[in-house]
Amino acid sequence: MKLSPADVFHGTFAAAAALVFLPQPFWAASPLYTQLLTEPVLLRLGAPTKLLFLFLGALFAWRSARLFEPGNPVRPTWMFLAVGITGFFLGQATLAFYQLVLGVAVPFPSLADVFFLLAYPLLILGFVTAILAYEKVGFPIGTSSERWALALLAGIVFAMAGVYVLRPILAAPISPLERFLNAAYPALDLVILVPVLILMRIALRFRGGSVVRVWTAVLLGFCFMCVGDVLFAYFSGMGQERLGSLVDLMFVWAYISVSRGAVEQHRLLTS
Amino acid sequence: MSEPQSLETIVAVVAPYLGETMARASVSAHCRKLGINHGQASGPQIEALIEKLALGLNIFLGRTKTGAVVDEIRKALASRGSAA
Repeated sequence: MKLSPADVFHGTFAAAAALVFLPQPFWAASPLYTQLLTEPVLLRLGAPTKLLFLFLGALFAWRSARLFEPGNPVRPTWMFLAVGITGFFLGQATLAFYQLVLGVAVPFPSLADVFFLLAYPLLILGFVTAILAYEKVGFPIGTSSERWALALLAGIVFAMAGVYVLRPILAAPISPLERFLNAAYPALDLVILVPVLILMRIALRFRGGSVVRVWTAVLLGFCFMCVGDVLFAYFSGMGQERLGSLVDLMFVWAYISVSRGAVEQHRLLTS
Repeated sequence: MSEPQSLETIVAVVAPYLGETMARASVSAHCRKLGINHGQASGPQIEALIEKLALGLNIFLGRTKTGAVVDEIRKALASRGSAA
């Protein structure tokens, strides 16, 4: 498969992020991480990278939405995704403002949580409208009842996983608002994974074509995001903050992947 | 050009976008709905098939690029037709 300049750009950042963040939990005491890549340095590398790719993701999702003519069934999809990714961008920008500009620990909850929480319903709407668009135009992607069955099965599995994931969070001795927010992120991740799973199944039927690269990148991004949220909840609960660089890596990969999908969609529309 | 070859030509043009498997499956599914049996299609049926495929391509490529792909299909069909 021929690599495009966008592939090289996104791939280089993804590989560089892996080289920087992945060894940190294992070699935390090495001079590399005590003298060169210290926590403040990692923060200064991670935060702008996340912002860059969220910005690119939102920008190219929005430009793609504008390029789809009014009445095209995926125009709302890319609009919802653009606004949802913008919500994540504003959330991350708020976190970066506290960490990099004010130089203080991020309060919890903060304005960032408002942006993050508002983004989820829009992203879910984006994925649901994408599924409806695929159905509407008559691609042989299986029957509607198959998709409902998959949604039901995934819903049951994720609900069971949710009980397991949320139990320690709900039992933590924190304020009701903190408890709500700590539980809301993994719960919303599990909800968003249902349409992501259905779309992933649909997208795989297009393997070998250029369109599959759009959705596999976007959906892989949301899978990384869910893994990041779950790891964050667990590492925080276990007091293993030193593993936080793995969480950062998941979010960096998530945003790079989402950006890659949005850029690819824009390239498909304009090339 | 025989009619099954027309369908092969259409598959060849849309496969780089949809992938070989989905391109074939889409053409087959639309053929069934349009009453095209064993690849024996009339001119209007081929046109209807192209329109159905364009509806699908439109959600990935947008109207302008889909129009270009449809033109490419027509040119490929015409050039094969004149070569046969």
